Amino acid sequence: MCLATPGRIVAISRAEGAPEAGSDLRDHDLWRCALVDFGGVRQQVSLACLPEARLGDQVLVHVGLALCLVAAP
Amino acid sequence: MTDSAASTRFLNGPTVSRAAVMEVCGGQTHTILRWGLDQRLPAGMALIHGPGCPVCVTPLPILEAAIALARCPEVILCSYGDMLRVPVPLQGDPQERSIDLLSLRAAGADVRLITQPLQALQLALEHRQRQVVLLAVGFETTAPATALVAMQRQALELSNLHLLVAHVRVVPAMASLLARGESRLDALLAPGHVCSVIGLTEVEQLAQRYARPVVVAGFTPTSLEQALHLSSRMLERGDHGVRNAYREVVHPNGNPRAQALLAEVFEPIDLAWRGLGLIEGGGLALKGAYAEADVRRSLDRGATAAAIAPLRRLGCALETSTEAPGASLCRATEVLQGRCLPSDCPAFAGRCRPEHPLGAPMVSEEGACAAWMHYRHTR
Ligand code: SF4
Repeated sequence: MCLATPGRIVAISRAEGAPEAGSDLRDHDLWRCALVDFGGVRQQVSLACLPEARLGDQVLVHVGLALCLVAAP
Repeated sequence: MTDSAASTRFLNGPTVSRAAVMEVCGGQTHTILRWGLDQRLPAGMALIHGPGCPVCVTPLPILEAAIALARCPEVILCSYGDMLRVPVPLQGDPQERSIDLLSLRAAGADVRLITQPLQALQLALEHRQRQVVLLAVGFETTAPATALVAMQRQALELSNLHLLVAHVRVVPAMASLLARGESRLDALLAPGHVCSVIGLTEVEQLAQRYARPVVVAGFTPTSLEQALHLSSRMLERGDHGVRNAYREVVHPNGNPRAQALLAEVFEPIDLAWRGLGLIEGGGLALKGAYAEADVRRSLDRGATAAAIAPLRRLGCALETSTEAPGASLCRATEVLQGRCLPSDCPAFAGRCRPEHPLGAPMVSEEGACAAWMHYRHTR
């Protein structure tokens, strides 16, 4: 259950089905998501917990949520 | 075996006289058995498998409620793969038969396998006339994703999405294992992904309170080797405290955003873990406005009201004594506490196998019994 997979952010967008963007910054974070490339397989992932994540970043993803940036070893 | 050549190759130096180290997380158990790390330990060191398998410790009343809810025609029940295969004993069945969510699906119930909680939100949007129940399990690694769904549900006013929450907290469980009188644990490996969320503070307090070495470990063989090496050095020197062997992922502060999501949506509760008994602060429950999404409130009406009745037994200290998963043979309780090995169970590899598990530890990818079956059982 705790297994998480690292992948690279290739695009950032607002989640599908999200309500119209309001002015509340916190709300923006709630729906922020990314297309993440896992060695060829691409998946939509929520960035709600990683406001600092940018294009090209390596992130660790668990059940559809990016949990942390992965530092280069 | 722990011959000296192998242990020097692995740990090069420190030898500890008789130390028991517990890897708390089931994912780590798998890596350890798979790569034979347990066979390359320094002389005197033994590894004990911990309870870190959310599927294995999910309280029986929650599983019973899930089964009963899935039987209601208006309900779409969704959860992760392993949860769907956990055998749930049929109450009062003289032959000790059990049922699981997948076989209910085969019998016509609407049970869906999901890989992330946001799929439940999607299902609720697509089926506005149905009641979508998300059986949400997992440690602090998984709980933020559930919290996010709870917040999005509220923002979308999606009243047909309901949460059956069985999230558990790792550090209280580690404390409970250390506090028990019979405890023989000299050091612990802490689950890295949980720490990537909660950070090191809680773990640090635990290590100080029980004066034990705790090493935060990742999931690759290299990371686990490094963690074992660190713990043996600490044991040798008689040190206690926390070392981080998973720095590329675990920041000392964890993920503050994820912590904020958890604090916004959940509050800690005392929870009887299956196999471990009541653990103070060992679970999470929806709080405040988010409690409206809790099946105990949102489905306490009509046909589903009876289905959630088993949940009244949650948090009850006596819960584990009524434990009889499938067959009274199952020794999951002892396996989860590291008091016996899967191979000590009389049903192991015989009546209990991955194709027809008697207990949850044989079902889950992270269960110790499944790991032993995979990597230690000679056919
Ligand atoms: S081998 Fe099967 S019956 Fe025995 S403890 Fe493990 S899960 Fe239970």
